[in-house]
Amino acid sequence: MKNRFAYIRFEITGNKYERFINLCKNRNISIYNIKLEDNKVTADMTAKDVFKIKEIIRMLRCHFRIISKNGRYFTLLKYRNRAFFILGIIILFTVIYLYAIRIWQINIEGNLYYSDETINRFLEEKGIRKGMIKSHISCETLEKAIREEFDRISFVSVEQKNCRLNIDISELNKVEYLDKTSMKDIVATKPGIIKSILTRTGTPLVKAGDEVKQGDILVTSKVESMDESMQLHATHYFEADSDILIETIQKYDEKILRKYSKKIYTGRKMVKTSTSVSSLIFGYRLNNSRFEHYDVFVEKYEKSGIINYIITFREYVYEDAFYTDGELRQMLEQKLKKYSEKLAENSVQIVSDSVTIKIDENMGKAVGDIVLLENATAKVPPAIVKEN
Amino acid sequence: MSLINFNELIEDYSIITLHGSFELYIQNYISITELVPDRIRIRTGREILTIEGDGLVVEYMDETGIKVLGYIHKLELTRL
Repeated sequence: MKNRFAYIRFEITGNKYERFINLCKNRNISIYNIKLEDNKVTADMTAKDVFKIKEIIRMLRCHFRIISKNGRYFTLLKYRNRAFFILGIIILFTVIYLYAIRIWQINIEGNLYYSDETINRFLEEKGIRKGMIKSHISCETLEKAIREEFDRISFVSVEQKNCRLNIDISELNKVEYLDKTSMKDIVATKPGIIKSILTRTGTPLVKAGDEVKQGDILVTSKVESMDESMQLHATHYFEADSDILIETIQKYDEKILRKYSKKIYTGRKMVKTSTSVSSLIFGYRLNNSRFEHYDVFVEKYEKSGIINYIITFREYVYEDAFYTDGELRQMLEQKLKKYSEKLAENSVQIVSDSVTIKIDENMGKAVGDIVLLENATAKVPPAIVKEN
Repeated sequence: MSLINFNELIEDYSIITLHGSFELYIQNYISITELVPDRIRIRTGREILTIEGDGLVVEYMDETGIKVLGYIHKLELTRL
């Protein structure tokens, strides 16, 4: 049936239905879905044709009954008392649609140096605000504009998701911005092998396992920031900051002569006294011309507010003496131990040592290589590095 | 043998189109003479077309033509 807007389903009972159909046809009344069941015919007819068959029914005297009224017209008629309800549903969907095509929230994340208010103000200047239609925002254009406006932003991503505009920002790490004259590179002060490198600021030029020479640049102060298409966006200069451990080899060479001058006290001594009252000192002298070589010992005691000093001069002479092999070895070992302790105090680790002690008739020697793990670096301005 | 007037042909003759054995479309018919569930008789210009089958339904019927659906077993054209 062509017209589904308003049609009725009817039935004709009796045995004159063929004549009814033919009369409808002669009067240009279209009938559809004609079925014959149990001596009655059911069919469909458009609603406006129903008024035309009145005469036919009267002529044939058959029983005509409307079974159902179908179509959008009758449905609307049925709900004519619910017009405002339907209107409300239409308005609801219209409002939902109008809300869904707009941006209602702007999220900014990743910003530390630039506040949300600063970026929002910039967006307002560009015409981006809450409530605007999504299709009016070009994410690529906005990303480019943000990068050009804020030079400390190295990467920005703008994304529309549902009714939200998400702006993800990456800023450059270092807070201090130095000009070219303040930048410093990190160079190696000793030759060795890089064992570990952790860079906080700057661009590392070496990695763990690399062999470096004295003066090699390990971390440069120049930092280049790229945009999303990996094009150079900006170049910044910082004071490089990095923790680097280098494995170096230190030559150890210590000698002790077997012959030495031993101090022997003769037993002769001279004692003097001195007094001090308030800030005045009487008779306090530490020189004694009587002995050629002497040591001075001073004792102090206080009595009734008066400080007294007892100064004792002990004479000694030098005599030639010789260390034994055991003493030489012991002294060299102690020296090596003190050297290791001093290195440890300076945060230098000893990885291994191949120091050997050799003793001959004139001296004792401790010679060998010590493998150290240390932060053998220094910060220098780049001009000095280039000259080296 | 008389000459055939093609204009008369267009006015008097009906066009019967059969799709498979389920659809039958008749253009230029006069009236329905019999309508029962397993038989429909339609009078065309100079013949009576008898359609026999099961579950026969007239899908539509207007001034231009009539369309019959159903399991058509037999078509018989009887010249008047």
